[in-house]
Amino acid sequence: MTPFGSKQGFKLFVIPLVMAAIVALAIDQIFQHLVLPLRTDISNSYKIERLLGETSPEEIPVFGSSKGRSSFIPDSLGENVFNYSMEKCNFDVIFFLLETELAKDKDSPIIIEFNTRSFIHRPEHTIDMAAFMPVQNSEKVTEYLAENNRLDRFQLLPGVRYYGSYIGYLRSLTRKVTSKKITNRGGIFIDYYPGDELLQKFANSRYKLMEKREQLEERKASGVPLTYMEVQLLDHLQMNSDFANNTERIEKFENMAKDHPNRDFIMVFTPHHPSELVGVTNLEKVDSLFNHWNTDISNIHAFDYSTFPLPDSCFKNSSHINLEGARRFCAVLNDDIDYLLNSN
Amino acid sequence: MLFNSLDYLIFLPLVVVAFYLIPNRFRWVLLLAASYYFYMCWKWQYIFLIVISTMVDFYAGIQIAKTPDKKKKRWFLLLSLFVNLGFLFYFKYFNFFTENTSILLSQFNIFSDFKYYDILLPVGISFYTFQTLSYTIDVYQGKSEPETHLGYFALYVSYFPQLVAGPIERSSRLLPQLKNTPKVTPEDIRYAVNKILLGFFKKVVVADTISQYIDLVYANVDGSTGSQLYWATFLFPIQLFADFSGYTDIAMGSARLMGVRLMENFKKPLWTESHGEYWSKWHISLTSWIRDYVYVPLAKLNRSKGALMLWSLFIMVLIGFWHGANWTFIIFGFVNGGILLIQRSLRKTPFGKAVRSNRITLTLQKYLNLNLLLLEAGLFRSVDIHMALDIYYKIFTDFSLSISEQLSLYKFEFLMAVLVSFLLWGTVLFNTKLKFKYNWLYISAMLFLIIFLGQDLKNQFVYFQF
Repeated sequence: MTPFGSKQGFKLFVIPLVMAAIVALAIDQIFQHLVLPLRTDISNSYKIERLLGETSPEEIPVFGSSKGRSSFIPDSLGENVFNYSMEKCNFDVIFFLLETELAKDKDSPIIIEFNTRSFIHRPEHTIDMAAFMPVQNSEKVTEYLAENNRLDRFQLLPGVRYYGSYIGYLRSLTRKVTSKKITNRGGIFIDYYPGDELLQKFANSRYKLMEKREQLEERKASGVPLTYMEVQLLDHLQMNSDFANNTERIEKFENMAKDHPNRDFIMVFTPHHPSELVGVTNLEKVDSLFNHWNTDISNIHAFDYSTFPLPDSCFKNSSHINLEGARRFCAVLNDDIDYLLNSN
Repeated sequence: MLFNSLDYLIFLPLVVVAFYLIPNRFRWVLLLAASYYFYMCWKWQYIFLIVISTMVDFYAGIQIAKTPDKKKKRWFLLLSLFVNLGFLFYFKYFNFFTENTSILLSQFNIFSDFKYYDILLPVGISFYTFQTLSYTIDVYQGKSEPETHLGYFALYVSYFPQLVAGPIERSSRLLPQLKNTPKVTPEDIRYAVNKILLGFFKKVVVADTISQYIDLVYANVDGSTGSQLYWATFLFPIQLFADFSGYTDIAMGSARLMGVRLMENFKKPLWTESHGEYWSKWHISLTSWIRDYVYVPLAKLNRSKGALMLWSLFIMVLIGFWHGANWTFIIFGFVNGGILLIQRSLRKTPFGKAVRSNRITLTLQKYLNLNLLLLEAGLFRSVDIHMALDIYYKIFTDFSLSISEQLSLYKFEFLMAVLVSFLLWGTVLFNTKLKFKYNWLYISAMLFLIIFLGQDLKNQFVYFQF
């Protein structure tokens, strides 16, 4: 007799559980040994793995978000530049990348893409688990994930560690074959312009949201009660449109820079479509921060290209520049930071 | 604890094995402890709400049956209604009422000091409140005997497979099953395993994949085109169906492993000829509850044609409001009720009869009904009326069949959503053919799809918020 009253009942209950374990392990192993090795240098997990293992003293890393990935063309900036930018990546991840990089015995500069959301702390949104899973054996990685509350115990088990990420990995493999996308040492650049009409739609959406924000702020100021949804929307709009002047995190970054005077930190506010800067009510704080860095900290060099004059045809959408935009931008950037890139 | 978590995949087999290892008379202790633990994993403090509801209804049920005095019976019923609906009102509707009162007063230049209270809605409160209310009302109406064993009654209120999102079970159906020694056959195990797999597939593969596209589009209504909004709105009922029926499948499968048969909550609701038919096949345990405890008593008060139409409209608004304290749900209910009444009136006309007598026109009618349901989903998904109006405006003024425009934003997410929708459709056909016989190929395929395409979003089930 079994708990189910018959051997057959027990078998029917246990066999699917065993099968589930076998299928999960089989997919895990196939992935580990056959699919992951096919990753290219644009895969996020490849980038993390590379950064952990890369020892070349000349390499100049670029850290940043998808804006950074589509703005910095390594070939235009120098043969030693590698673009480690990943979508959604801000200082939640950049701190880890910097710690890893700064632990190396190197003197090369570091380029960091800056945007108004760089210092927001939202690890559940900014840390892409799929990028870290292939290197989960690294103590540094597990420590970092645990610190940010992003490590579940099951994620260390073979069979379930990649659960939820398989399609993401496959997606990054297919990127290489998309004809309009050009890749270059970690950077992805798209030779595409959506057209005047569609770009205008994207821009209008931003204008409308900012209009909505203004209206809500006015209503709130005049004492008219806002609904719960409106309060939520206003919080969301304020958080996502203004510069996140998180002094604690900015200080942490500054201390890292001060502790490594041999490394130059090149902070670059990349070109933005004019619509993206509408509604950022505290841009003057970015200016004063950049001034502070440039005058008070000798190895942080801040460059503001947010209003860099680019025609609409240089944009993929209102948040990202396209290949042509990246070419024009990098040509100017290269001239401006050449003295830093080649100082060593 | 979420069904779609590793914790549940460990919790369920442990409970099932323990259930069969202990004598029947102690099983309620195990299941009650497991159910409370299951609920407390989310927010332990809110277990007290369930305990208070349980105690009040247990006491009220016994007192109602014991006392011959009709007036006293009514007082005990009112006590139960007051406590249960009071909790529901406070946690779910309090802010809505104060907020709207405040806005109304501000129209007369009376600015009240409205403060939004950050009240966390207890998961599943609408479900267990309705379940426990049905018990007290049934006892009051003499349809059920009161339960005299507090342990079994507490288990009826909190039985973990259906605690947080139903099906809303009646005491006459669930309590005897919990008390009797279960006779679990190999057929039950087959059914349970297949149902659980199907439920996981619907949730982590279909619903969670589609939700990624919909969430992106709905988070950027102004930046999305009319056609993108149309497709997101079109896909939402599929997400909702996969999410909610997926939950119900896992609930039914989990309960069946312990010999309990929960009621079916869905009967292919999306392909129906009218809203009336749709609501008789969607969330059946809720609609039948409202029919039995609200519509029927109202109809007894006044059976005239006009009154019946009014009651129908009222219960649709009530169903809408049950889903959440938001004007979008109220209008959703109102629109549904309006369409239901129009369809019902047309049905009896020669035109309506002619449409239904022809297979082609009937198919067209089902297609039209589907589109109406899909469009109404915009109200259900929008966070407020303004957003819903923006969406409808764009759908009707900015719709284009251009594929490049459709794929200009969130291409990957859109294509994945379409793919999993077809997979859902495919498995529905597959299952009908298999009639839930154990098929290793089916199990392997499901396991593969769940593991390979499953999303690790730790997304709650949509209906948990109701």
